[in-house]
Amino acid sequence: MLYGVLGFFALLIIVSTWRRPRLTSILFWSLSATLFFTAAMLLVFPANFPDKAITITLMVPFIWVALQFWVYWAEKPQRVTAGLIALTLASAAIVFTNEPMV
Amino acid sequence: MDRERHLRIYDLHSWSGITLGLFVFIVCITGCFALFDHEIHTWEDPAKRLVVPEQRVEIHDTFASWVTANTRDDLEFARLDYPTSLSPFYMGMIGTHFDGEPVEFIEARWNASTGELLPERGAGLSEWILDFHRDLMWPEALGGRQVGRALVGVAGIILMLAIVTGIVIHTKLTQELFTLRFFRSVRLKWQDAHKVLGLWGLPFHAAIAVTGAYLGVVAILAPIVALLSFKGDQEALIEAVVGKPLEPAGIERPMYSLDEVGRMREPTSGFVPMRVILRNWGDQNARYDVFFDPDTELASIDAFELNGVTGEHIDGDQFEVISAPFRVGNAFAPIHYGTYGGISLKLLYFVLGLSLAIITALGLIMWLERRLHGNAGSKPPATYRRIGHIVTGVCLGFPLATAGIFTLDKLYWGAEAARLTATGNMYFALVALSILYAFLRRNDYKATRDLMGLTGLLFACLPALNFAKTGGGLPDVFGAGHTVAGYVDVGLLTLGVVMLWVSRRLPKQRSQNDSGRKRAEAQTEEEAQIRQPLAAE
Repeated sequence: MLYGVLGFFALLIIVSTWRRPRLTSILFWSLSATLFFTAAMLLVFPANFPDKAITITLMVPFIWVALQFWVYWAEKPQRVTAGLIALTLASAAIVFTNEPMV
Repeated sequence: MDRERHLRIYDLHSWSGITLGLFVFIVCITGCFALFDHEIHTWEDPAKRLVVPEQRVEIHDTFASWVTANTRDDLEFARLDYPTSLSPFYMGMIGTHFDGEPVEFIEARWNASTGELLPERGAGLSEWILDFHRDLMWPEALGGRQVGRALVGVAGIILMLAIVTGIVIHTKLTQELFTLRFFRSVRLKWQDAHKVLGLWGLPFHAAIAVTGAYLGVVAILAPIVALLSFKGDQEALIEAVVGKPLEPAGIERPMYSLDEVGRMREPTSGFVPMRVILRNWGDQNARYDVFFDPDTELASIDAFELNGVTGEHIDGDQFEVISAPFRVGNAFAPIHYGTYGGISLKLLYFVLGLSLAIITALGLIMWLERRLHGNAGSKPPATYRRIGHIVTGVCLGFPLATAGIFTLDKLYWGAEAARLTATGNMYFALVALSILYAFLRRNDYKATRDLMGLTGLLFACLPALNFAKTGGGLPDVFGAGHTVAGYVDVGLLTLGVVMLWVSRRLPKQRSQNDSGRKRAEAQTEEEAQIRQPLAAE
């Protein structure tokens, strides 16, 4: 059941990314890129953890809005979508390959 | 900036406002009233309309007995608030639970002169007003308050995006700051008002959007970061940020007097404590976190830590050295709720917050106007008329619902435990009825006049109702006793009179002159500037 829902959601994202790249990017890819990028920064940035955590949390609204703005600022929608997917994947790679903190 | 890009950003500004503008409006309008949460709390309950005595009664023993009597298997924390002019009573709170069960929060209040337990009313008006703004009172069945808080954070994100795109698309900012054409078409009037209010209030709106987004987004971010970086262990994340809490030693000890703590002074400001949070109560490792009103700093905490047994300061406590990120983070809540100044700052916040709600509503109205009486839009006029009724019903329904729950607070006759539920039911019922009324009236101009007039009437009558039901309120402003409730009445009366006056001045229908001009001003200026050259190309 869960895999069915996840599969349907993944299919929906793929199709909508293909058909409506800007809309899907602003609604979904900008959020996923923000969350994974934030988590990756938390893992790799060398600083005192509490300060780093608060600083990154303070930056989240700015990062998210900047990415959303970029989606409509960029000339070619495919390019910005590809950029956001790349950012998500690169950040996800850092998150999943680094040692967890506990 | 090239025209296609300008048009894209314009459409982003427009569509972000249209699709989620009503949600942003609701968050803004509820936030205006949430600013006065403490004042409304003392207004709603006559038992809390007290005067802080010069010599307040000792509270330690009373509080300690109450904590012991109400603790379940485990006590997470206890808290004591000292009397202030806004909350002129002692307030105690504990977080406690039975083994394996969720934490339950228990509160009590004591008279600062006599130490008597004050009768508790059920949660109602003030709790609804504050929590609806903070987390939409999101039901547990749909994920709980954290989901609601995240959604409110998303409203902050949308507002930030609308502000950034709004600045980018308006290329003549200096000129627009001073342009308000009252005697032209209704559309130009709305458009100018939208820009003037937006530009003059820009620093405030930006601050509210950023702080609101941060306060809400933390609710989404913490679990996700915990899931990604801490194997889903949210407690481990919190420990990594705020440090590991001191465990109880398991040795019982008498606690240091909370009355002595209440007589302490903050070394720099000389202020008395406003709150103490107690950890490991009754144990050798007990700690008191003593909080003061911030003096000159824009921070939500000015505090130190004490040994709960001896009352000695803990050297190098968590509050001694606050790093820059924590200082910034701590400033966000006071900036958002305007708690770093007096009542005049809150009133300024109210006016600016109201202007933000009006800007959002004007944006929605302009979008509809262009489609109903201009060249924009591809749907039949009936569709836009229906959207117009919904916009009218929601924009006037939420203020009416707020006035309605103030009224209900004084007329409620049911069980105290059901007060909050009744408040919520009344709130949503009035919003739904407002939308229904807008559909039945079939004229948004008249519906706006009627609903605004009714809201104004309710607000204006509240001081009289308060006096009739509680025997206090407005007359107390002129006395020497408790005045907060009286000033709330003054505020409600002023708001009511202003709304009544505005409602009488609103037109009953669209001006005939506007119909004549609609061809000439079929599009707003900035839209025409962007779209016409594109069409020519």
